[in-house]
Amino acid sequence: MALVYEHIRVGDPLPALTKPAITAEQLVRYSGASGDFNPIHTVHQAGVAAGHNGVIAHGMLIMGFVAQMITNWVRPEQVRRFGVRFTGISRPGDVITVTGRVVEKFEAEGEKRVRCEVEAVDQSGHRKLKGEFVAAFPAETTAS
Amino acid sequence: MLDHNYVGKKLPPIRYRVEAGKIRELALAIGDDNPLFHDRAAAQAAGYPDMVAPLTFPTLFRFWGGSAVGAETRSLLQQMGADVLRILHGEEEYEYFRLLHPGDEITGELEIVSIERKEGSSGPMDLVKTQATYRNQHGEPVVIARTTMVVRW
Repeated sequence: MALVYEHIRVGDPLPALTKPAITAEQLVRYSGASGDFNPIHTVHQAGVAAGHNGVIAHGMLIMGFVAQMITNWVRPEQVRRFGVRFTGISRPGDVITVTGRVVEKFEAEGEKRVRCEVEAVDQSGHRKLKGEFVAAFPAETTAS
Repeated sequence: MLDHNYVGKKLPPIRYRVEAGKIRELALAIGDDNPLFHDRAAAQAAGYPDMVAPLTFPTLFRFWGGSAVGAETRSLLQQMGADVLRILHGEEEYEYFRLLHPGDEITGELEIVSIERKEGSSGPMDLVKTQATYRNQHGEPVVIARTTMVVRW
């Protein structure tokens, strides 16, 4: 059932992922899990003092949503590179949808690789991040 | 603006032991129910020796792998004159060489590679780029992490 390089086409969309609304509790949990205890993510007054009207989500939580979409599509060991640029702030209540598409197929270091663009937007279509990743794929002749 | 003399400065060495409980805790916080991140038996059934860490797990190294949890990058930026409430995460990139499994003993050093002044729509900002190469207990590279922090003034 594994995806095969020959069957992937430039322009193919990746299976999208829509997450449940971000909650304040989730930001506390993410602070503990990641170790990023910056109070702008958990303390209302700190978020206000920073000019955000309240707490804001960790950018890395949103990148984690994108990672979830990627490893729903490929196995973790196929991913060679994954990078994002954060372009907007997320808050509790935001419903994030992650989408992506194949933009390039190429060979490097003896592997067949696919480059994909990804982005995360909220329920109003505001973009939170933009990024890309590269994954290696088995060729049809060697796939088991 | 931030002092350019900090370019090339390294933070104290990072040491981090990957544990199954932290892998699962991160996956739960993200809400990622991929069984590879939750269950050893499921990971083994999929051909792995043990549970696998999610792609953003290396973010834990710099926050949990120092001597003061979550504080060292921030305290360095504060020491450089930044207001912690006005620091934002600009970019994050990982280059992967090996999967992370429970029991891996990770070491690395976080280095400030550049400081660049930009004029943003809400005033000047400094982009602070850091990089760390993380290795396992066998000295093998596992992942390179590149981070850009945005310090607003």
